[in-house]
Amino acid sequence: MNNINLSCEHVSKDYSGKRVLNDISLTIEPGCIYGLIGRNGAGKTTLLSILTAQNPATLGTVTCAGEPVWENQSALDHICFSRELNPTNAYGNSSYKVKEYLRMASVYYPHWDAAYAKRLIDIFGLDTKKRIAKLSKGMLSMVTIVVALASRSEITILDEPVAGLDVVSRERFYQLLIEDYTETGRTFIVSTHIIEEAANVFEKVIIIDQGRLRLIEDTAELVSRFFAISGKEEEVDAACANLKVHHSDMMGRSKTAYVELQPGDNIKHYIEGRELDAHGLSLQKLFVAMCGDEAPMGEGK
Amino acid sequence: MMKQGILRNLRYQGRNQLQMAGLTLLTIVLFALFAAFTAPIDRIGQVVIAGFAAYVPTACVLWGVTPGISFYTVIAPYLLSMGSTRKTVFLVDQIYKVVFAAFSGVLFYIVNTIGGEYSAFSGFGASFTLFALIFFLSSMGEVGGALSYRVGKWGMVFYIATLIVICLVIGVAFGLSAAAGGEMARMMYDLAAAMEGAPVTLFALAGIVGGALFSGACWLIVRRMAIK
Repeated sequence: MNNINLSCEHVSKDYSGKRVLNDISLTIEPGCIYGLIGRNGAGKTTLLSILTAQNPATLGTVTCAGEPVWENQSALDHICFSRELNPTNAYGNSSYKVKEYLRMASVYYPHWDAAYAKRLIDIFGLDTKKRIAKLSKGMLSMVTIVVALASRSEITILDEPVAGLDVVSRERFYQLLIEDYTETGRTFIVSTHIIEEAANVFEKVIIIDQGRLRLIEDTAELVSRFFAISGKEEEVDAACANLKVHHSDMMGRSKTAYVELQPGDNIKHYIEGRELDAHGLSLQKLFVAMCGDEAPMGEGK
Repeated sequence: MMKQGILRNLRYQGRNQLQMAGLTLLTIVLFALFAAFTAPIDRIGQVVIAGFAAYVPTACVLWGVTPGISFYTVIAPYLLSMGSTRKTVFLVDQIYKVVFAAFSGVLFYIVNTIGGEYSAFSGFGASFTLFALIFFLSSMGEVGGALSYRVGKWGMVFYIATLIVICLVIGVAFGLSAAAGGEMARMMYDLAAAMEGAPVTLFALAGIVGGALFSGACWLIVRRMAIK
């Protein structure tokens, strides 16, 4: 189990005068699998880039094991941020072969595990002689997964690792992630849009919405506090009078409200004696309830 | 820890530089073979030996300067994304730039010495000038590459278009001269004649100062570089 934490304080980022990250403070504790979720353009990749000193923050500080991350080799040696590869990148990364990319990783990651990388390449059936430009979206994801896992970094960050992977490969990835985590106790931060199938893997979840940190919380505790209450409109409204309602749907005279309880609160207190139905929400449903009403992001960024 | 970062960069970038040095030597050999097959049969040796004065600078510019343009657009972002720091990437790049320029100068000195009376250039001055030229052009290319990565693809398009125009102008001037002379070596003789009496060392020193200024400008861009 490692004891390296990564934290940022009051981090903001501006692009062309537009604020895309706003006053984010968080601490990534050691030995946890974090899920980073947010809508398109919410600022997930920008936040991860700043946490790993790949992008300078406009305001705020980032530290790893108590040391500033920016231009600090000893801090950066604890971190691997395996970025999404883009074969159509205007700056020519497509000219690299997979084996050349992995060779580069083997030089730069101090804890690189070549035998593990070889095993992962075999598991995914990657052809290392292929150029990055010739890889499918799924294969590009596999390359980023190989780099992330074989880096053996104490803090390993994956940005959209399952994008383009088929369901079998996604399952295999999550198995490998859990195997590695069980064996090493590394800290993982996984940014993904496919929330439902990853929800069981995340111990903690970070939700970013419109450049702001919405929450960072234990996944099980978070899920246990969200409910959908359905029934007649007036009954639902009465039950939800003292609850935080994130979203509601109407169907005729029937209404469903997506509510959040305070820690330690019980849903039964609110629906008792009323003709209402209440059921818990999945991580994906609660994310949609929390962030779904906002205007689409990514515009004008 | 910075030492570790420097060592990693020396290892990775060094391998790339070795490849460039190898490609430079291969290009020189190909030029020589081409000259050997196209020269009059009774003057093959003379043409090939004299030609080295042209092959070496051409190959060194090709493999020493051109990759510098793409370093900050293609390679450096990868190195930074894998946890290297901007200062170690830049520092090691500068070290290898000077090493390659020195390699070019030494190679030029050797071929000119071997060429003897057939070579258009002789002595330390010409080699020092080539060293300064490679250093200057590489530094200029790096600034362009770093700037285009920062500004975006239109910056790259503008920069490449500018380079093409410059190359066209220089290429036409040198090309016509070479065509008039009939061979590359002839062009070098003409160049040597034109440089007769010129303060070559002063030009070389100006090139080194210019290169250093470009390197400083490059650092100003690279030190806050964001990975795209």
